[in-house]
Amino acid sequence: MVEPAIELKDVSVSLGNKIVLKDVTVSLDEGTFLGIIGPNGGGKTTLLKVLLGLLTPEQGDVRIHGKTPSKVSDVIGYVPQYSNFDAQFPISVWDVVLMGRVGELGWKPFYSKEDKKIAEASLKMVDMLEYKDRQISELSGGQQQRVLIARALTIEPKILLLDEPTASIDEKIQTNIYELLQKLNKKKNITIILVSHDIGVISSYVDEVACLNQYLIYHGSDELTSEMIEASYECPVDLVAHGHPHRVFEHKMPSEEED
Amino acid sequence: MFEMLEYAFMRNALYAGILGSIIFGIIGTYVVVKKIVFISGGVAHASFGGVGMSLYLGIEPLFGALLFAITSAVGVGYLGKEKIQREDTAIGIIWALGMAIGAFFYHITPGYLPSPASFLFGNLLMIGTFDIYLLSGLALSIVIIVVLFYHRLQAVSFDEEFSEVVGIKTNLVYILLLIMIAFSIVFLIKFVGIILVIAMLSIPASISSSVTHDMRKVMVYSVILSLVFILSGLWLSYQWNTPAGPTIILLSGAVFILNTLGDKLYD
Repeated sequence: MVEPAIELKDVSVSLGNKIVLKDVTVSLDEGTFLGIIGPNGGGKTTLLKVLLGLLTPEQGDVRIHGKTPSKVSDVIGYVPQYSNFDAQFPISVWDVVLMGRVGELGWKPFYSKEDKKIAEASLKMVDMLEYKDRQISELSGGQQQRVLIARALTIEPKILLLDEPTASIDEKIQTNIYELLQKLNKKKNITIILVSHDIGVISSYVDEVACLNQYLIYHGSDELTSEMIEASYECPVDLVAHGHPHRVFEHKMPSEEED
Repeated sequence: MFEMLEYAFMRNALYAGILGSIIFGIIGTYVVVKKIVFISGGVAHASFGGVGMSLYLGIEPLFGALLFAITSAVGVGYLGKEKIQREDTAIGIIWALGMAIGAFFYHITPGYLPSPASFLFGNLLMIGTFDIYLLSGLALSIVIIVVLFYHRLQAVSFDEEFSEVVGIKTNLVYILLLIMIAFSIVFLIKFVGIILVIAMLSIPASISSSVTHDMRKVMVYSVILSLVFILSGLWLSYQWNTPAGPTIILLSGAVFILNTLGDKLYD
């Protein structure tokens, strides 16, 4: 039997006295492209932290390619939200991308030729090589996002985790980012999990979709029903398909609110 | 310019100034880009408690100051990281507590003591050969550490979470940084003083980072700027017969304001 890329069993996490994740169970095969959607505060970031090993759940079991998350720093490439950074920070694109190799330094003070070759290849993969000497803040949001994806790729990961990769990026550029992710997924067989609150765009590109709001609702398919969304958002949601002709969303008007 | 170097204390001040520029330029860059100016301010003020306690115990003030500075730096860093206490609250408290402990011991220590103002605003007359040795050792250690750990320090300063994910012991790197800051502050207290040291950690690095986006260059420019500020400040203070620390800071502050205004107008 092939080992799943990611396997969670009955994972529960509470922060303070608030339950953030409850009995999350999911198993993903290698090469899956999963989009997780859910409202803000629904536990998306917490789930990412659990997968990254930054947070140990008080209950449940997490396996990444059969290992516990703290031992997989060379398996998972993490792409945080680009808007979390200090735009003033004096760092070039090249140094940001090389950061992906910083864990490999060991006792060496400098990056090796191999590190640099990998960084160059990663920048090429996201079409950003010509920007390598630019300061990170001189780039647009979409370009910064590409650089962060390149940084994650220098780990040569089997899995990419992305936190809101298209937040505050305009729609045309969003499409570029999703196409890039799709390419990485299909050509390099990288398992991709991205979390977003953006329901429409996400579901046009991913293979599978899950909804997260404390509980994870996941059927192992790309079908996104309004029941799934309603269960997660706890309110009726108006589904709009973003220019993807072969998928039909169930359309439902939000019920009128009463005062 | 050269006649002032006939005085032994001015020569020591000059050596301290040159070594101080290296320390301020490099450590100041981290303080500015990592946005820990106020942790550094709190650590500086907390060290006054150590000064007072050392005077009471009759030991070298720098040693007590160092103990207080390192404890408070690591303590605030830890409390903030573990979210046990709001970081800025913890900073404010160690800031005032350190000053209170210092003032308390000053009051109960009998006999003649150096004026508190010497520690608060610096006093070139207090700088001896011993201090120059300490500063040389510190400057050398900082240069070595920063060369060896440059990429790790930069990674942790830029994106702590990602660094942790790729296997860097970010808390250790952060504590290393805080300890270097504590040493820098304490060893330069006699030069610019507890209250003013924060200006030298932030002004040169802040001006430098407005002209370059390469962190290595920010460090080099900051060292050069610190040196210019310190040498011209020392000279002016000699000419005007004013205290060196405040004169250096006034000069740096004036350049900082002009630079900020210039940036604004240039935009």
